[in-house]
Amino acid sequence: MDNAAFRKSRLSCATLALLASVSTAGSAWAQMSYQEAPMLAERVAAGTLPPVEERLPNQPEVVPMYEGIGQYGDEFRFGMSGYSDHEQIQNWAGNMGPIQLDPDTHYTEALPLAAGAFSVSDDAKEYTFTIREGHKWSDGTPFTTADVEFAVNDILLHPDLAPISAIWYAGGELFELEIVDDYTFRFTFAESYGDFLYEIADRDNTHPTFYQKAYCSQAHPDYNDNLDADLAANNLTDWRDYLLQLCGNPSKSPTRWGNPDRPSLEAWIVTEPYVGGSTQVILERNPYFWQVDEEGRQLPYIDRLIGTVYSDPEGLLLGAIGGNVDYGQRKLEAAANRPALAEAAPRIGAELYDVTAIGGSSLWFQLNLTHRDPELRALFNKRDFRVALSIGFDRQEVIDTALLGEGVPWNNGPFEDSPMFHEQFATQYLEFDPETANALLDGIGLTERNADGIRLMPSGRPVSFTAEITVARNDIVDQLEIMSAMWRDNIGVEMRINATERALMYAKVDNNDHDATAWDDNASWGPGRFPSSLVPAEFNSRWAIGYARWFKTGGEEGMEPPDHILERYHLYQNVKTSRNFEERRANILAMADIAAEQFETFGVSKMMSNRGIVKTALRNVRDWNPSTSQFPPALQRPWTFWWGTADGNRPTN
Amino acid sequence: MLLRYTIRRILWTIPTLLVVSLLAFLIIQAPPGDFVTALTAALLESGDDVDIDQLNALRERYGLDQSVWVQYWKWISQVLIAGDFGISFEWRAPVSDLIWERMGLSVLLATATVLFTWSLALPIGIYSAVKKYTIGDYVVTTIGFFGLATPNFLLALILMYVAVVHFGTDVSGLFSIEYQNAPWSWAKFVDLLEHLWIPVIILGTSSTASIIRVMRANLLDELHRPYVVTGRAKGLSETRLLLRYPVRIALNPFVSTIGWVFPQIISGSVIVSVVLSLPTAGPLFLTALKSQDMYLAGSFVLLLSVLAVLGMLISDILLAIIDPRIRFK
Repeated sequence: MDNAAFRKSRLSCATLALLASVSTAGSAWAQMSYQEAPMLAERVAAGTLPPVEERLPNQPEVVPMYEGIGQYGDEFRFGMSGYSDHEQIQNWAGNMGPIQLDPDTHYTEALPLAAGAFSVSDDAKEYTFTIREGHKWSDGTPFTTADVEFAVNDILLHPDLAPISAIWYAGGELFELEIVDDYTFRFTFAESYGDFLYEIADRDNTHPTFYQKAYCSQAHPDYNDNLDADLAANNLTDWRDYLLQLCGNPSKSPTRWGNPDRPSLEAWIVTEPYVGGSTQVILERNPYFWQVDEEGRQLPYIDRLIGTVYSDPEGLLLGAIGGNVDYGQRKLEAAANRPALAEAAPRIGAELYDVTAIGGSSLWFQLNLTHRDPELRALFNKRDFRVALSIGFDRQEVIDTALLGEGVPWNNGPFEDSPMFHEQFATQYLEFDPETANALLDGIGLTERNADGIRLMPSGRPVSFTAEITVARNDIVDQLEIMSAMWRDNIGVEMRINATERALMYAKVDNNDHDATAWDDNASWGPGRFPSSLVPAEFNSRWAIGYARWFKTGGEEGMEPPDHILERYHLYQNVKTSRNFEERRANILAMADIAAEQFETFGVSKMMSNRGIVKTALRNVRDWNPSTSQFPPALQRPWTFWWGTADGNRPTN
Repeated sequence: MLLRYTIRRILWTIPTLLVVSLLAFLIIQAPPGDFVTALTAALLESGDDVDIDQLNALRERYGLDQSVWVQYWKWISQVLIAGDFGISFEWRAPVSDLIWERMGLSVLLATATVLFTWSLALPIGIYSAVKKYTIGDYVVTTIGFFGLATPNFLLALILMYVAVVHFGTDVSGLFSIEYQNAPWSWAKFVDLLEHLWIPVIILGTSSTASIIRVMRANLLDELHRPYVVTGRAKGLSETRLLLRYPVRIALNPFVSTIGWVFPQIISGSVIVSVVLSLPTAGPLFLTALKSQDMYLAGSFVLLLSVLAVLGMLISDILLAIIDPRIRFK
């Protein structure tokens, strides 16, 4: 390939990525010559696989490399902790939705993925996606809008699979899907819906490009006339289970990795399936993968992903320090693992990897403002009471003791470098000031104390409440215990801590039977994430379960919210229907203004960043990855990872 | 006589198993919440946002909104009528497939462990009884007490840590990576043997120790009985005398506890299997309990009870055969 053509193709794909609009630059690809991995070249030579030009789309996706063009190599190893950790497979094998978010723009821009091009109308009501001509599934059959139509109309919208996520609605109405031609499909919403771009880029919402019609329709009652016989043959009784067995689903089901026959658009396909009792899962390159590097080499660079199932997090840690985890962050990143990882890293040719927090709080303290008990509810709803709690304990001391000194006093919300940063919300009332706190408590009539020094409410009951937390979160329990002691000694308020089994805690809290609770909060306030500390629209907002229920049931159940909450509900609807990022930001910050004024909840410290581990020879890995599961390493496109070793193969320890 | 006894025992196992299955179901249901709650919790702990409406729909679909009795009836009636153990909530796959896939290796591990334990412990026990209060007795007794006092899983952890950090090898699992899912072959079998000795020794240490102690005590009781003296007076060789009479009687307690070995195929090695990441049934059972995967967990408990009842039956019959003093009343 001559240099001019190379530059041109590079330019056009960069333009494509930037403008994210339907491209017409076809000529650049025509001049590209393609290369493939040795293991596929062998199969082509043996005549069992068509040549690479026929396997790739007419215009394959050209991926700009982060660290440089790579070489083909043998394998990449990762680990899982127990049987509910299949998300790890997803972290490497990825999800091929129509589009994805770009890690190099801090996840604010979208990149084309299974759809080679996309465009959004100015009013953000119409989203048009275009599939590449000649794009093929991993079984070599064409991927067209017929598959999209099946996936959306026959699976996503099937009444047996209701309800579907709220992200498919705008203004209370479901989208309309229009199949323009074999390659173009369009989602149209009744109202402007700027967030949809981010939602459809999320791995949980990749349905439109997930199901191959020819294969998955075998499990569908509208397509398979022998369904009952097929169900019986598989010991099943429900077509939905059969569908899960054959095709899985885009989000949380482990069965997605259990069927080697499932046609997919992913970079690697399962060869050793992940089923109940597996100790290992292996994925091998998809010969029909539709992305190439700037020199026309078909991706992925690495032949195989090998995932070992360790029985528990300690097993995973041992695997990691034994050198069997080439890049790991999930379930490894906890601070407690850091010494072991740091010690092992030089021995196994690895280094610690930055897993960066993008916002929020290590402990987000929430009083229940919709408490069933009128007296406690009245007390908790006094702003001065909450302020007194916030300045009635020394955050630095909590950080120094419970968080080993790693932390910065912080309430909640995105950090300073985020466009969503709200200074007042994040940093008000952080100073430890027991005098003012006591004056505030005196001021709201809590002047009497009992023999233990605990303040009394007007009815004579002590100011005492219980914080519900699960035993699984020792770090939060530790922090709460110090806070509790400081409140008792400094301001005469008693907090008991009830650490219970998690299911019990959730049952109690979801039923609005709690006084207070605490959790951490990855508050990015970005698209695809509930701003739970700003508005009680979901049950994650445990500070106002009554309002959340009211909101979700359209006012039939729960507790009617005050005006300032209603105003935020209004703004929250506007967030969703914003046409662009600026408009969205304005709505979020308007909610944050009100929330800051109300000061309903507060935090202890900034959510701190963690460390995973990565082999030093692994290339094209970004310097850091966010710690939230919303932005998994898959967005770095692990199919561009390669080994910077002499032979391109994985280094042995 | 023996036949009637056997038939009666077998008939009695049926109501026993039904009651056990019901109790098991109730106990697994006893903690608050259900599979969906556990799923929600797991999602929340990994930092996901959770769509409550979708999860509630899941609850309805899995029939978790019905009463415990209805759920139990739906399950047990299918088990009895069709031999269908239901579908695992977590894996959306038939429970029987999931369990059987792992049972083979469980049985293998348990058998290997029992053989290892007995072949090591019984001779040592006999030796330390016969050579009471000699240096040899003290040495094996001391080792035995160490074995008894060391928790299996701790031994496993230490062994794994030492192996990884100092020898750079991974001792967990039962196969090397290349053989994990390969079809059975001679090479794979050899690979299995190379890995199997570690869990066998770890699992075997404490039971070896206790068997040594029990054997020693039993045999000491017998060695000075008049029949032994009589045998010796009649001129039997020491070895023949020992093995034919007192050892045979001292073995009684082991035969009567064969029944306990069966359920241990699943439950005995749970923690060690978890620590060593062994592909046996134990860890799957534990996961099922933790995620409140009712049908999978319930079927495991049912299987455990079947094995226990079966084991007891076998040991009762064996006992009747080897010890003529036992009569059926």
